[in-house]
Amino acid sequence: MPVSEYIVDDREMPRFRVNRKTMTDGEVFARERELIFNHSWLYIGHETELRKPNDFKTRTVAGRPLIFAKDAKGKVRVWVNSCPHRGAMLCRESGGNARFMTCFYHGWSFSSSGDLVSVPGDDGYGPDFERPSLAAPAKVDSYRGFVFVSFDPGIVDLPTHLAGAKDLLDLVCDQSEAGMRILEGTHEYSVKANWKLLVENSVDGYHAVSTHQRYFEMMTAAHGGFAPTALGQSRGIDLGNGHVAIAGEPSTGGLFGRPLSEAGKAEKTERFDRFREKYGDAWVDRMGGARNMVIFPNLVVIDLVMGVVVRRIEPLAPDCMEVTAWHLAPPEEGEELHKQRLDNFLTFWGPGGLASPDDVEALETCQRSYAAQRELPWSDVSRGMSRSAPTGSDEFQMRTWWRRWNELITGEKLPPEEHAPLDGVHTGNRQSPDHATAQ
Amino acid sequence: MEFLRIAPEISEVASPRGVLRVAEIKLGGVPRGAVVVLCDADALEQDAPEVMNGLAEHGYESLAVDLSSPGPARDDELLRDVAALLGRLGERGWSAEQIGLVGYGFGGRVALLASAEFGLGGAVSVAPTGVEVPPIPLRAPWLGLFGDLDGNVPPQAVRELREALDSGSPVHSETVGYPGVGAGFHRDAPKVLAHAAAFDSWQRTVEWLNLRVVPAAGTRG
Ligand code: FES
Ligand SMILES: [Fe+2]
Repeated sequence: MPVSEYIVDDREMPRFRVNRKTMTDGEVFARERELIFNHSWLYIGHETELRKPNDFKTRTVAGRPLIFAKDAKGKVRVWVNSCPHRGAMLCRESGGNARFMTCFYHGWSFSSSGDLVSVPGDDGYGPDFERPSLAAPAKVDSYRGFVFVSFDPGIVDLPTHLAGAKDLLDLVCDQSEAGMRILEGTHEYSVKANWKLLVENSVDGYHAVSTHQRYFEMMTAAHGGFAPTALGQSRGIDLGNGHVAIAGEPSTGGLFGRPLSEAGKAEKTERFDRFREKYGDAWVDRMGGARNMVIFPNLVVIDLVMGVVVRRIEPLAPDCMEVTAWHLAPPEEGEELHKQRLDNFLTFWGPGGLASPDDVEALETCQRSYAAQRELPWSDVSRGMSRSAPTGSDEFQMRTWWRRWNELITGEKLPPEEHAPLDGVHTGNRQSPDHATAQ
Repeated sequence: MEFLRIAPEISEVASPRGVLRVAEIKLGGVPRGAVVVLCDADALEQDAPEVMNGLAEHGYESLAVDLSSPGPARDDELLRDVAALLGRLGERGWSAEQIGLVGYGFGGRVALLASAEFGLGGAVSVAPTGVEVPPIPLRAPWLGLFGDLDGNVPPQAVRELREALDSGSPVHSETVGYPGVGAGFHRDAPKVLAHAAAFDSWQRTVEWLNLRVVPAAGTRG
């Protein structure tokens, strides 16, 4: 079996180290594109971003310019944003509504279902000339509104790929009876750091109190006290296929965000009580805990109950990534709750908020310091290896993600860590609909 | 530089309530599509040649009419007039989705009504004189352009229409309000806001059609 030069997974000491070359090396970057991004399911967008037939968004996924659209019949489609004639980009806007996309170079027109519908000077082509349609990624599929594409025609189906991540997505999606919706607008920013640093950071409970001290001070002032110990009760979770999460006890859902008025609290409780009838206590208790999840390789969903961010990381170069973040929310919420949610989203995750800029600064300093990797080649990711039940403040979830990364890049398959199985609230299941009506 | 201007031909189209006097521009070659222009009351002479030539520059044949001229009519009669005009374009080989509809003022109100009636490529209402009962659901993608100072349809009415269309219509629609102008802003004027509204509203009108009217595929006729 090949032995990775990137990862040392020592179960004796125990110690887990990642070579910093993984963050700086152009060859590693090229291998990631080929071995990971060309053969994975990759998030492109949420169905609710496309509200009406012929709505479209342009996105870059694994370097490819794509059009994420609904056709005239309302079916979700994904096209390569390049004219089959000689390559010009068909849509040069970030989004809109168009039944036809006309290439501005020579004027070929395509319908939103990808067909070439008109060619200026059509008589210049022979009678047997096959008019090319728009190209598309090999696979497009969705799970509960989350739309993924894959450039690998032979890839396993999406539900199989998502494995245990489905459960956590369900916990997010079940928070609305009308269906969770992406709010209009996106946060877009670039970070001068390797994309994997943000993957790690997105499931890193360890950094919260130190990096985001300012945010927690604000929360303490607003709530008249703060008990970050609850963060220590959370668990790091292996969801299979490289997907990982940290999930909190029910109390963690109340840790973040500005306090609500009595009326706001009542509305929220009432909604969750309805969920209790529908889904059962075990599921709703679990729902009430915060969760951070990475769906391998580059989709992040963070649900702090006071707000849900969907974040896609697009690697641009070994030391640069582009981040797009959306806000997923239940449309039925009243004005106060909605306002609180928006405020939470901005003050915590906004590019000018009190948390995300701290993270960006942390990651960028990591990247800059990797210039000294000859003197300091290894990063340590060992926290919690010796603990029977790793917490969200440990680094089990990062190691799990890294082992998958390592397997795809080097072929070396490292065995999973042995830990106590999940218990208590983390095992709560959704009661079946039959059960719900029988109650 | 002198631009070629096409003088529309005047002809007649028969409608159930009488004969409609129409201005028509036919194009040779392979036109991009066809457009029915519903002028404001008594504005056929004033507006039609300008608008129709503008459309011809973008490859559209057109048919223009003032539906107020045969006298007062109920909404269902006005819609039958539109059906007759579409029939005339049908004789030239244009299917409904290859046809756009652009209405001004009085005609803008009819264009909105017609958007719920006909599966056209796209429709635009410029300063419609009324939007009282939103015709839901729309069948044709519809663009509404309004002057914020237009007493017929104040901004609040536009907002209500916008909400009704968003929730009640599966088809895409958009509204735009222009500051500092009332009705009739499609006609260019020296004042800055008026000039801006005239320029922008025409850009949007053409773009709306180009993105939606099904293009003619090959050589016609
Ligand atoms: S490159 Fe698009 S029409 Fe030529
Ligand atoms: Fe953070």
